[in-house]
Amino acid sequence: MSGPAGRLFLLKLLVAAILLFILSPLIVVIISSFGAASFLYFPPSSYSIRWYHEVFELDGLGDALGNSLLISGIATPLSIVLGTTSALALARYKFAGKSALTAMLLSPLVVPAIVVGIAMLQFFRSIDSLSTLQAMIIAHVAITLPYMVRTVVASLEMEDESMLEAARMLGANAFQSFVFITLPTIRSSVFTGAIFVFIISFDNYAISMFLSDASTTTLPIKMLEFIESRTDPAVAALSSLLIIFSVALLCISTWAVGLKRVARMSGG
Amino acid sequence: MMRSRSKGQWALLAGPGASFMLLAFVAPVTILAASSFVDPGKHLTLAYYWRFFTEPQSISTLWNSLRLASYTTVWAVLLAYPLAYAMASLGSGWRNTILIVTILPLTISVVIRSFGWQILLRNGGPINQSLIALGVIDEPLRLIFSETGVVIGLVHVYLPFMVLPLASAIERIDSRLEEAAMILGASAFKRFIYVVLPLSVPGLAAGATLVFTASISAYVTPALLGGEGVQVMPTMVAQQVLTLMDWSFGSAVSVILTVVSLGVLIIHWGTVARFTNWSSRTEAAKK
Repeated sequence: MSGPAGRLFLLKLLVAAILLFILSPLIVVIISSFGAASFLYFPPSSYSIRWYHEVFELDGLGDALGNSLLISGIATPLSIVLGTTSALALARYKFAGKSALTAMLLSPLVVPAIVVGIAMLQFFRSIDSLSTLQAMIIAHVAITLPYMVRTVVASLEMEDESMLEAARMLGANAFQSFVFITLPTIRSSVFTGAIFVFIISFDNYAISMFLSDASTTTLPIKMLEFIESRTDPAVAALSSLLIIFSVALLCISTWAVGLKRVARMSGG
Repeated sequence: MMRSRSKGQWALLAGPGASFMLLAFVAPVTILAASSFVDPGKHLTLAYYWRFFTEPQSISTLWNSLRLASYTTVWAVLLAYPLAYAMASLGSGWRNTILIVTILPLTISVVIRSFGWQILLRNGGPINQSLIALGVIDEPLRLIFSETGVVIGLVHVYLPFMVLPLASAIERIDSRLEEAAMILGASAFKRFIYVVLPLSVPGLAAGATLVFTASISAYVTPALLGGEGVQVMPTMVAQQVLTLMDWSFGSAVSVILTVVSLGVLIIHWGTVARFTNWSSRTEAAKK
């Protein structure tokens, strides 16, 4: 095959193959979850939805899900507040030590997760007054904060300064100009940033693994236990439900700010 | 801006976030790093570093990490180029599809993705079975709990970090340059080699840096897809601290890992990134 049409076809074929590579582990999990046999096969020889009933009988799943929702549910708003205020300081003001502050706020992105995990384990062990749950929430806020800061700073840089100027000249105080100008500008990025923060916290394994104890096991830790201990498709059914949950969250954030900004947010 | 009338406002805004990070992140990481220089008798020492660099097993672990991160980066480049090039040249339908498929796995737990790879790569899994059915191999390949499995998993996890910067670099290329090359008679291959490739270097460098630093730091994927047989720096840290309870040596390994990963980033910032920032500034100045 030669000529521009043939080359275009080859490019499309290659792209389709790479996209299949990207989706294959997810597709395989979803298809296996419908297997009727009590041992996970791919492809299954017969199909059934029985494992979707079994999901709710998985031992300890409810507690792990509850812990995950509690930790991510508390860490996300804390990350929103701390991240947004820090972003406002970085985007709006000039001050000595600004680049040091930026580096510090973004540093969790460049320190390997395993190092953060054991550093926090060592640190929180030496502080007796904190419960395991509190330590885990603090850790989750720390590792998600950079994403929030980066997202909100990016949206503040697009803010129209003349609008703030106009508001000030018309006599608006700092609170009014924040509510009527800044907030509408950053609202959608704060929202999408919050969804990403929630996902990062909810999916975190490396740091939770070090900090958790028997009573604060999170969902990813529990899932790994199931994967290692069970051979039936119930874990695949649970994974499929979580994949659908992630797809839904991605759709919501794409709807809120558009695909392009979601991509920029996720792309390092 | 509002600088003139609001001397203390920045401190009020930055204060909570800054003090939180100082206590919750900077302090733990600093204490960990410091503990790698202190022996049980509370004396300063470099013994743990000496041990790392003189112990053949540690050196081979560092080498494993560097090698696997390099393979991952090369594969990510090879898979990302067609995607990024297609995003820039095939129209918005392809563009959006590629973008969605690239981003989607980022929102799914690495535990679930590794589970999918375990099903695909295991001995009785679909890849080995089809290869045997096709007569390519007689015995199942050892895809899982091997370096191959780890590299496949790492490429899958970090491919988006390569695609996104590369796509934005390729999209910025002036399409008239490719047209001019075409009018002058350059073949598609030559146009790619002499126009697209050199002009996409900033995106390539940024993506490669991200993929390399992320994959050398990855713990979950090597632990789940490599098993006991594949030892890399992050799994060595976990082993030293959790299994052998050797916190001091574990901390030293952590510091070395962080320095290697940060070092690559700093080299990138100091070379390619500086040049590209400079060139994008001159571009902006022209406008």
